[in-house]
Amino acid sequence: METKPRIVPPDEDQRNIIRSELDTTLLVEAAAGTGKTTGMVSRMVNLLAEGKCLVDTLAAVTFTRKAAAELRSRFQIELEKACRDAKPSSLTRLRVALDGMERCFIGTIHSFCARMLRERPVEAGVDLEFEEMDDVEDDALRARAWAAYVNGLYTSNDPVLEELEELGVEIGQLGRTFHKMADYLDVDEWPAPSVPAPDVTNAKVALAELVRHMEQEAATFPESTGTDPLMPQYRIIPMMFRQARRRGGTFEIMEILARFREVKPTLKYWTYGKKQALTELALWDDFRTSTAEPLVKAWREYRYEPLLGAILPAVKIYDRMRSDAGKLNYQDLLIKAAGLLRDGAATRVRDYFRRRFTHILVDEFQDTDPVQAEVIMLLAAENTDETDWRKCRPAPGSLFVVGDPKQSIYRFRRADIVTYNQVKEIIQRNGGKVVTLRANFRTTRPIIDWVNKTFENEFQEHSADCSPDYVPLAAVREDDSGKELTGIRSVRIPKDLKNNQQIGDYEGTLIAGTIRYALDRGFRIPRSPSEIEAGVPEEVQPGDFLIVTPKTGNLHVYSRKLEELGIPHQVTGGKSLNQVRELKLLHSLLTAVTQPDNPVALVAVLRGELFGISDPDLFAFRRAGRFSFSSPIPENLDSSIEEQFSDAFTKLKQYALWMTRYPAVSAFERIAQDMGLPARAASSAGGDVQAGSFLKAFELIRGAQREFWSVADLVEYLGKLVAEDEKHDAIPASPPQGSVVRLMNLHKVKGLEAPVVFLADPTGKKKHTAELYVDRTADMVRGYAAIEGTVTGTERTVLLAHPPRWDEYSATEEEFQKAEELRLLYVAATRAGCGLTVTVRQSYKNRDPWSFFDPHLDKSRLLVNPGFQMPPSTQQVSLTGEDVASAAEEIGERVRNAAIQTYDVAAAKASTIQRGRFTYTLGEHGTEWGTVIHLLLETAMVDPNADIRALAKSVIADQGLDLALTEEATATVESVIRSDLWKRAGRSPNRLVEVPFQRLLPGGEDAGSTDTILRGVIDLAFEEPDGWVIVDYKSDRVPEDKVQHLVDVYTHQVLSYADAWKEITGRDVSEVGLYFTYAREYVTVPVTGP
Amino acid sequence: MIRWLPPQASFTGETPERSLDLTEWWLHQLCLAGVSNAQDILHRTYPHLGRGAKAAQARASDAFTIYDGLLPYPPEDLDPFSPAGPVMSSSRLETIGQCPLRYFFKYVLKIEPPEEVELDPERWLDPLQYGNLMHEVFYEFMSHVIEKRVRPRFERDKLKLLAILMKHVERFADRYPPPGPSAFRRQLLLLIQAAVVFLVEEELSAHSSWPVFLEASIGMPAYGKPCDLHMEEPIPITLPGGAGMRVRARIDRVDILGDGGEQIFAIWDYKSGGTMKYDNPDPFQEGRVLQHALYLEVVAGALRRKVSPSAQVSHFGYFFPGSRSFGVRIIRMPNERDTALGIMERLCTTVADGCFIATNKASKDCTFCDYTMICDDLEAVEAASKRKLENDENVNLESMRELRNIGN
Repeated sequence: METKPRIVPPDEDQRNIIRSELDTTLLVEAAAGTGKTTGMVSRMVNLLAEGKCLVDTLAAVTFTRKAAAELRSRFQIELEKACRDAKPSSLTRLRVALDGMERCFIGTIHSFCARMLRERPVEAGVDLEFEEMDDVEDDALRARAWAAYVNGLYTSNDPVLEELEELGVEIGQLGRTFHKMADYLDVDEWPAPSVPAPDVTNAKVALAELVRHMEQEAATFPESTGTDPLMPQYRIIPMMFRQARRRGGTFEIMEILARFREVKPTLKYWTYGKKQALTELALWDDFRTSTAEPLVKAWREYRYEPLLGAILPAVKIYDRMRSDAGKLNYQDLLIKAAGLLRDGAATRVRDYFRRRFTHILVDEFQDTDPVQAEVIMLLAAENTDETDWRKCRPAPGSLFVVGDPKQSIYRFRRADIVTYNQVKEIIQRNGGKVVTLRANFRTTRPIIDWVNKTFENEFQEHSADCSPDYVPLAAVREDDSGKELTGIRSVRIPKDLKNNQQIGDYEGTLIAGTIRYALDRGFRIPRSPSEIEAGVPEEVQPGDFLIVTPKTGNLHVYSRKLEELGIPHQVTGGKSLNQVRELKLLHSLLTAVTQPDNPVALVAVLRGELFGISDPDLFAFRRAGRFSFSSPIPENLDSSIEEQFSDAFTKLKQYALWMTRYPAVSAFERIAQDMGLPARAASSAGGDVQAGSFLKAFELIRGAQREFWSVADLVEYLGKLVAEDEKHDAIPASPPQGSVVRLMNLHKVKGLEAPVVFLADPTGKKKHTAELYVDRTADMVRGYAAIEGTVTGTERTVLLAHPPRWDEYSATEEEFQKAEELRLLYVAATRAGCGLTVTVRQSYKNRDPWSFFDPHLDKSRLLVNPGFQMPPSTQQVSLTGEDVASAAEEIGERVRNAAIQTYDVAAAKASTIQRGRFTYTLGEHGTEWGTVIHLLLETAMVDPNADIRALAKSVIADQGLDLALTEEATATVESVIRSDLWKRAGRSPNRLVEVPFQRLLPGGEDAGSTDTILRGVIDLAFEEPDGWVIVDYKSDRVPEDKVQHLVDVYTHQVLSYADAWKEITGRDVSEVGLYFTYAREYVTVPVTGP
Repeated sequence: MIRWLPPQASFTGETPERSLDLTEWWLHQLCLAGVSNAQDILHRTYPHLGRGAKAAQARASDAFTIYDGLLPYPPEDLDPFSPAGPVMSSSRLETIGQCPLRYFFKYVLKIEPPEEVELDPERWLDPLQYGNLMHEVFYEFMSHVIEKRVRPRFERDKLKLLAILMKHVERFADRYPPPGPSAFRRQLLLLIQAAVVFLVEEELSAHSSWPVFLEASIGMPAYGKPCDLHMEEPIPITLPGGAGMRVRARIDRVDILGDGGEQIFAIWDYKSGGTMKYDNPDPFQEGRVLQHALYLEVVAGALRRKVSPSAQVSHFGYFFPGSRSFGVRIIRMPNERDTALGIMERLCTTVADGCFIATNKASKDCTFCDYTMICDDLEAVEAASKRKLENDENVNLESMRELRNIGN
């Protein structure tokens, strides 16, 4: 076999370890573009080839379901390849693996845990039929749990309510913190030391003195204090102080002290000028730092314990509600699985899973959930009785984890780099190896050099706990041909563009124009050896471009620009669907229809883009009538006005009727079509995507129909789509095109790459604030929360309490967040193959998430503005009114044709049993009894050694019958087995049980009669020398003397079975019979004619 | 195999000849085939969409049109200067000042927004209901003060005031059932705080004035038992240009200053929300805040008629006894009368001319508007109003331009 020369990367020795050291536990630190998936797949194939494990005991865990699907397909391809090239020694093993590929676990950690729980639910202590909950359902359950808790406290007039009120807090204010804490169910402890109440005696005296001074000063102030932030305090604080003295609590004093915040006075409004302002500021700051702030801090620390104590019982209720409902959220899956393994040390469940999954591979381990790490370590441990995962020793070769600590970016979803480092340390300590991949195959040298230069010093800026060392990338691709699109460039937003819309407009036009120009001109880009091998053309394709934004909010801006230039593209995680104009119009329309008593909704529709009635016409109408579409149109209106209103009201009335007549979504679709909304969407700019998204919205509503019962709820759901509360991507109406520009935000871009990348949307950089810190460095997981609550009447959120040393905790957390921000930028910078363009702002740089790159960009290498671009022209037709009318007619015809019935289905039994049921039943067990007897007889015939009694018991239970019937069922079946008929069947070389069949009975000649498909099941058929014997069991409980009557009833049926048998098999039927199990009597029926 | 597979399914369908509904047919024509006369054929097939497009086009233009709130022939009964026209109140005037289009919806088309039925699990009373409750509590308490002729004292009257508060809270809880005990309790605590603030501040100011009229209705029917200042007929005001208009008001409270010997009065209006809207160097805010100016006119007029020809008003005050504003008082003196009357004149001219243009400051004026659903895209409407106001060719917008300080 021919082997092509392979480029030997500089880290070949490391790659060899992955492929060959199969008995060593490995942690692979694979920098961006170094081919970690390839490494993982090759490891999987080699494990199988060398017989280290079976495909059944191999588990590969990925970060997302999409990644799992990709891994599965690559694994299959490599496994097939390996089968072709295999040495004889491993060929059999690989073939077996390929045959059993579907038994290999490849999926997310959550589905992995769910699988373990489903295998051993009893030991895991979960509901046998537990259901997994998504985040939406989980949030709703959380809200219910909180409401149940709070209402319960009020119902029982719990003393905690009064305790909280003395601290100035109403329990409802704590809901926000409850929701936050419920994200961290794995926290073992929320330490809340009891802190003494701060003594405010001295502060009150000092405050009283300051207040007297403030009153004197304020008396000299002008009426308006302009924008100065300090002067109003001089008026308000004295008032608050005198009111607080009347009200008398510590809380009221603390509210005053909390007003002493750092301020920057506007010096110009002070009566005696700047000097007075500065003197007062000094006084203010002195009181603030020496008295107010320390006390407020002490007060918040004092409140922390009781407030936290008031929240924690709600978490218990939330836990119980999930458990009662048999629902597990994502965290439960992990926590329960970890518990199953931990506690399973005693019950040998752990051993079971240790054998069940001998080799575990984990991808994207830098974003591991801490509980995921615990599950993996417990599972891989050779010391299977160890319950502390930190002390587990992974069995040699059992574990293979891949990650790039420089790309850990999911802290907001509980990823914790501390855990990553712990696992790394455990692996190293126990004879495992850390493999470092740094040879990058994706990216050309100029970009790699730039990335290294940009980042190598930055990672050291953060503490080792929250930031890994920087490992420079090593370039493998030298080529840099095709100059137009390659290398590092920047877009510099002009200073005068300040708002996000202007910036998006400017930048979107430039980027979309560049792509259009490049496609039209057929610009070439360098291709990698594997691309060349795969025959990828050198000319750039839409799929070669990737646009990355920091957040999802503005993706639609870029999508719209691409659409305008006719560039095929796909958005991930955006809200372009939500922005479709016609969706908004439909929502207004449906609101008006479903709220007939809401004149605002009606006028909105009449005056808007759907009906376009002018204001004078609305006024003229209002003088004569009222805004209600169910009211008659007033007389004496000008005919043109009358016509418009009558058109609109007729439609709305019609729609209201449809809403009651059709299922909601069908009604919506009819209404949209009747109004011409899909056509309107399709005829607008970027119509393909507008129309596709409009119709996709109906699919979303159809899905939502299961959760929402009323039409009003569905209209509200549509409102949520329109209001962008729930974001969805747009899709085109026409069939998807192969190669498309990809557009997504930074968190979605993980693991993706493209030759030409734009880092776009330099807006909305956010500040880091810590509300919670979880410490996983010690033996127990400890959580610290800032308790924030909303104040009624305002949207303001205030800090109510925090644990002692919160300064340190929040600073630590913020340090983690800052370090992660750097890693996000690293992820962004390492997506490009040969060309990277970064957009930066020249004003308001503090709002620019990409501003970090600015010093590293060559200001002279700008993205060249290609000038005005046009979408490619498409073939155009001109439509006439007649075209539309005839299309409508033809469609009507087609629908009528489709509605004509072409065949019937009938059960052979029903259609052939003679009419008139008999009335001799002795006790009634219904059809269930028949099912039991049939099933037992079927089994007995197939497997003569079957334990009929045991089977009878389970089948009877399954059918919901009384278990006392077991004996009768067993006896009945045994009597059949003893019968001559059974013995005859037993002697036959060919016997079949429960044979399903269907026959086509052509319709009669008479008009309207259609073909009928006849279906049935033959209980027993066996071959004797004269021909086949066809038998039907009858379990009817009738006295013996009435058997003959039953024979009459069933004769037609069993004869029709015989006919079917003859027709289908072409063989003779020698005997047709009915076996009455109750009477234990076999009766043959004369076969009539051939 | 890939060749053998049919093309991927899509909303456009394979061929128009197989379309099973008109949507599929249209999408196929427009998205796949490409139609040169798309807008034209769309509007011919769906005439209402054609009219809608015409309206949208007019709104997008720089001209002020019949789709932007223009009534070219406004009838006389809309004209505040006409005897047949409406009697103006501060909320009518302030509504024009905020957004003439809102005035059009509310007072001309008389669109009554349905009552909000949706429950906010976190809130019991909305700001309006909350304010009404506080007003009723203060009214009853101050009536009691007047009746007993004793100045309020915190320690003595605290329980009395809280008892009144609880009575009204129960009434409101019957009328507006709270969504849950927590939301109820939280608002109750705020109400109690507001009552305490009110009483502390009243005790302090009681030395320099005495309440004489509560809920004085002038130019409108009385609220409860009519006070001595009440009069059914409106107060006429002459505007700088010579035209007249009639005004009415309901005043929370009028105090007499000093020992009452000099017939000098002060007007108070209770505000339960924040001071943001009123604490501004421009007391009129381009016509958005006129309550103080109008009340000064109305009360002065009524006092001269009902009390004494020499009676005078010293000042008007907004009083914020809520939990958020700690009893702050913002005082307005009558010294900017001419400016105020000039603004009122422009506001009324705008209405008389039938020029109901939407506001050019959506962020400021649309927050609490009941009609945002009609305007839909507020930013677009704001931008259109700016363009139309800045276009001097729209001569009938001159009054609004002056109000909003646009152009010269």
